[in-house]
Amino acid sequence: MSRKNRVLAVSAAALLGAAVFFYYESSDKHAGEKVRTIHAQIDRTPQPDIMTMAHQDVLNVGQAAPIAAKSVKVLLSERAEAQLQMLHEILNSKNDNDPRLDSELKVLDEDLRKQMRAEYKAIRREKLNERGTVVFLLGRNLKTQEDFEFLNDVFSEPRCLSLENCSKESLVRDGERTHTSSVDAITLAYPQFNALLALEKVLKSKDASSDEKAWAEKVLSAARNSPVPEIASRADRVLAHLRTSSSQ
Amino acid sequence: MRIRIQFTKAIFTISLVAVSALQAKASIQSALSTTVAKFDSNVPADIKKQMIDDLAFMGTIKGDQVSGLHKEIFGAMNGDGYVTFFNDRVAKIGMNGCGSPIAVACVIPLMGSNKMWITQNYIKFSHPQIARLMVVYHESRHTEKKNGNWMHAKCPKPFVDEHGQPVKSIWTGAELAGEDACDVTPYGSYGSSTILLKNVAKFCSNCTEKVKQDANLYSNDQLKRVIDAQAHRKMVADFGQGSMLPGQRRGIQNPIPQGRRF
Repeated sequence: MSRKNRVLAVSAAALLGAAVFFYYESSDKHAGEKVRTIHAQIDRTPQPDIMTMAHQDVLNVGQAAPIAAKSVKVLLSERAEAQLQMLHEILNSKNDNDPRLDSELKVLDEDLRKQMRAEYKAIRREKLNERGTVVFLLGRNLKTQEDFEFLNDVFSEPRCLSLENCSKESLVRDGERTHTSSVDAITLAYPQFNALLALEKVLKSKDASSDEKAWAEKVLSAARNSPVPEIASRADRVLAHLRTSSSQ
Repeated sequence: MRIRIQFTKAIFTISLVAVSALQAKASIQSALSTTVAKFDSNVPADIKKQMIDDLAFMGTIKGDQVSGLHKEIFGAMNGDGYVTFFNDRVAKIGMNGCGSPIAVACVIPLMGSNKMWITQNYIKFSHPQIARLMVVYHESRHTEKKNGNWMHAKCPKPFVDEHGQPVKSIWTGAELAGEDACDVTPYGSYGSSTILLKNVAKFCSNCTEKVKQDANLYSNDQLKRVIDAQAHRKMVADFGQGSMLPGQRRGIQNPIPQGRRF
């Protein structure tokens, strides 16, 4: 074999070896990331698709208090059905930055809003982001008195006492309680915060009708009695500011 | 002889193509990958997936402006920059109770200052996505050994807000006075994560309204943890600003030693 061919052969062998190396390098088998579940440490209670629960009559999921939900299946248009399906997908994906939240789910017709209000009640209470997202979406579509009354219902809910179980107060008294309390506290009242922010927007909006503003003000007044101190005091501040502005 | 030459040439060509393809695949995977941090093998698949998804979202964030403090700490509003910030600090991710049944994530310097520990609460607690990320970036700041791990300061006694009311955990009602749950600098864990979220709220051009509203909501409350008047004023003034970036990021060299807990 000539020198040139020997060089070619060696290069080919080296390249083949490199190809094999890269193949194994990119393989998950050798990445050290094979997962073992540790059942003793991790709560493996299966978490059902939260939105498919909406059509069951009684929901008793995990450790949460049972939520009896006589969910009404409203007759929806084809578009509204598609929007509802989209909402279910997004909530289950936990992707808050899904652009459909601001496009396809921006405008909700009355029947869809009715259905979403019913489904909200059926979502397990500990699913605070999911419930809050539904309130957020409905809060962008406050048109009728029923829409505002729904927010009143949100404010009237009993406090969620802990992130792991809304019915039970956390007994934790370690330093983590104050370290992360800022985040936890807002999440515990996340649906209520979304309701509050929606009402503030209505009151600040130049496009809102006088009826809408009147309903918003009425619901905010009731929110001053919220069992969540921060919600109550914020509602109070917004109304005080409103009265100050209107008297000037 | 001729056959041998042709065979050798064929092998050479095939190998070249194979290596190129695999390298391209690795590059694409690397580009798409949001974290180079290695997960311990005991991190459950669902927790790992959620964290990867969350960091992937950070990797997509874009904005044309940022505030001055954001520029100092994170650089541009650039997804790659945020992921690099995280990857520069966190090399490994593992499971740990973090000393509390309500913890979501922590850093334990004695067990490796470039390792972040997460708990099952990362997916069990239903926080909005940006709130989870606020916790992750808060904890990633605690890995900075050269900055004393940005340890927290004791909240003052009394600890009152701008209305003269005691600052309490808005839910538990527990007063924060005397607890290691405050910062005296904008650059610490509370400060920096507040700056991050405030900028997302103001300047993110491809975030949903929900993400931006959540960022504002959570950062407003975190701001109360920055107790030094000058630091607090600096942050408030910073949030009212926005400047076009030349695009340079520099590290923070002068940490203020603080309290014990993180």
